[in-house]
Amino acid sequence: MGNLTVPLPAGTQQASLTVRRATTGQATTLPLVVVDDCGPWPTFVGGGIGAF
Amino acid sequence: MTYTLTVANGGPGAASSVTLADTLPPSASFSSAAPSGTCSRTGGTVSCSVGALASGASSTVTIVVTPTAAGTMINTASVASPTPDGNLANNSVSRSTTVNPPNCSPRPSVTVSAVPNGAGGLQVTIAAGTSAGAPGNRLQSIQIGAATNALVDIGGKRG
Repeated sequence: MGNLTVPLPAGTQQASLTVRRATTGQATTLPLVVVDDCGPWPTFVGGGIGAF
Repeated sequence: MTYTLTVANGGPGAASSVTLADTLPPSASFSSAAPSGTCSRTGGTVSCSVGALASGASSTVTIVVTPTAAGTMINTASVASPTPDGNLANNSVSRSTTVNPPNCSPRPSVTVSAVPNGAGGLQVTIAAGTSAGAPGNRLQSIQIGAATNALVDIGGKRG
């Protein structure tokens, strides 16, 4: 997956998502850019082999 | 923010089956209306059944909304009754409110937490940061970049 923008309903204070490994036994990284009223906030989530 | 609407019957006679209709600003997200048992919302309109009002009596309706964008918000309310009204000119009112853009300096931090969900995945929670200058900072979107070995489920969208 890459470069998908998910618009959020007006007034959203909090959002959630679930990340799963595509292949077990491999590290996972998911880059995110959270956009709020103050602009973009680049970040990422993920983990190593045994992180979750 | 809260709109407090007072419906008053200036007389001379009683008014029956008084109703109030409030057209919310497009840039407002509805939260609640009270009295809850007599108000309902359809789209951007809140309708309330005020009931009978004796001459000189009044009733109060409160509507709570959250601004979703900076700019001018115009809220319009009107009342109606099957009772003949000698003065229709005072049955509606509009109020304008200016919503200032957030002060993003210093920029409030977005909060991102990721915890194992017990099912082999990560539950990620993202919250808009707020500050004294940006108390109403809200999320607009989430852009998902090129993932490495990840499947994502967000808002019904999967990838």
